[in-house]
Amino acid sequence: MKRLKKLLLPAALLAFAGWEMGRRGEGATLALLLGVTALLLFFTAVSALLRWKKASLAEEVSARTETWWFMAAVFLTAFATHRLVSFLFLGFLCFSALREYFSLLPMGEKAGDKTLSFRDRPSILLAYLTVPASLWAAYVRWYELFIILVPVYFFLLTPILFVVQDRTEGALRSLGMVSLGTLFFAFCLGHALFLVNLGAMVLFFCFFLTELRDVAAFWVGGGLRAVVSRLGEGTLRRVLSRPVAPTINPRKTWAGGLTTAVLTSLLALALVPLLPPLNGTPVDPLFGAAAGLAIGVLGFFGDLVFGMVKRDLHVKDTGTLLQGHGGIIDRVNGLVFTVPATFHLFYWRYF
Amino acid sequence: MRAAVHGLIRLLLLLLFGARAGDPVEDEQAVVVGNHDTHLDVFLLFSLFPLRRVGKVRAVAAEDYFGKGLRGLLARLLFRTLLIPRGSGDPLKALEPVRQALRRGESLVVFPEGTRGEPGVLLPFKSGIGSLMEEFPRIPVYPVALRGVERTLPKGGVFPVPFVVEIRRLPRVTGEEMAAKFGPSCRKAIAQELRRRIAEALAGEENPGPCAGEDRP
Repeated sequence: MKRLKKLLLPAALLAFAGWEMGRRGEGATLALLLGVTALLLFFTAVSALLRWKKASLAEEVSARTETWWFMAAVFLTAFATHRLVSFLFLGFLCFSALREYFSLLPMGEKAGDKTLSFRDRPSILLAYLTVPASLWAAYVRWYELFIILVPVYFFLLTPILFVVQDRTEGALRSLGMVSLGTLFFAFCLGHALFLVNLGAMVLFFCFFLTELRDVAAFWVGGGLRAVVSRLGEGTLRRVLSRPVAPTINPRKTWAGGLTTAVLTSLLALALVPLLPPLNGTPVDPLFGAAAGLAIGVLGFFGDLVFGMVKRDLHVKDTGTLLQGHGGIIDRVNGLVFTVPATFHLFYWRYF
Repeated sequence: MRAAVHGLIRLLLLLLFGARAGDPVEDEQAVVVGNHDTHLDVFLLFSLFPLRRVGKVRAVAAEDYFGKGLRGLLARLLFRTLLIPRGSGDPLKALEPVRQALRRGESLVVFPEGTRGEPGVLLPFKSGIGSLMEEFPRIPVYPVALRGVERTLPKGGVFPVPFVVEIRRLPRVTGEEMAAKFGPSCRKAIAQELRRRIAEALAGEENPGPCAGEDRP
């Protein structure tokens, strides 16, 4: 009963979003919302079943499904209201991820044993400010500014700031850390802001496939391990269980990554009919499948890249904000890679 | 009015610093004790009290710093500051306004370090908190560890910069329990004990355990 009560708010938000979408006659987004709700209901049923059978995964799957309800509801509500609300939501997402990144890095004055210095604070503030600046550029559809803001002007302004601060010791490292995070979360993830301009459905396509790829990777990984454990010693077993980067994550195998990417591609194919004609051209199913494959592969590596960052910093999760999921970066790590690629693919092909 | 302003402040703390007071202080009267690194700390500790009771909470502040000017006025309006002199040589007399407030049933926010100091360094606790706990043995005291706050606005910093801040409220203690542990007239030991608990929570692992790469659905 307590569990059901927690779902009241997300369910109400989803109902509101669905009603708004229906009122505006957005059939495709409404269909997607219903699909997402069906998936959530399915996983809620699965977690109830797991709890009933007292399976070891039960608590984990339940907590994550609950958080999924919230994330999906907030995300879809943001897109069912005013255009500005969607931008503010995405901007806040980028800001939170960036803040989590900077908070993960230890800060201290003694050079050598710490990563950031207290003198990096002004540059970090500047890094945060690139988010509202990018948001504005995307909102007014000023692509030329949007695309140079972070990688050229923020990138050049930070070292100037360092010079004005008269820094030497550790400057190069601080510069690298600050630029890296800003490129990842304000620029790459920030492409979500410009992606809205190509149509909300294109953004949904990317977000939905990236997140579903994450979920699928979990079950595909488990399934493949079960298959491999039944195989005898041999080439097939070696091939199927070959990890991509065993030190980062021994459980992420080439076979699992490829299978999930192909599944993502098939799912993308199924989503193509929901995509509206872009610039008057209906989306080619083959192109949709290719974009899905790109999302599948890049999402896989996004996961591993932030796995690497976490291992380097000796943390398990990037935060504790999302119950059962860890932090925000744990949730958006795939998007950092898939969002810019989706944007470029669609922009190149249809605009 | 004060409750509305504090509500707005809490919203800002949540949006900018991701700071949530997970378990609020439910007692009618309580003393909240925290580590002190920035001007944000008092806002964070106030967020532990339910909004409807914010009018009955006071912050204990240094007279030389918060006694005058715009800073003093703002502090008085927002936190109903109780001003005490620093280094007066007579700690018992200096605490008199604080005692009166406790007798009136008001709650307190106290920073026993007495100053913000170096970022991330927990200074020794002044023993005043110990003598208050001996004098009011039944009033619950909550040590609170403010984690990550030293990066947001260290002493000398001009602008607050967003970083994730965690408000970790520790289990309550009372003067009675402390007296049972240390015996009577042990205000220094009590202050040290509070400091030890906060220091432990500050040093505690954020993400416990080694990591062997996990998949997450």
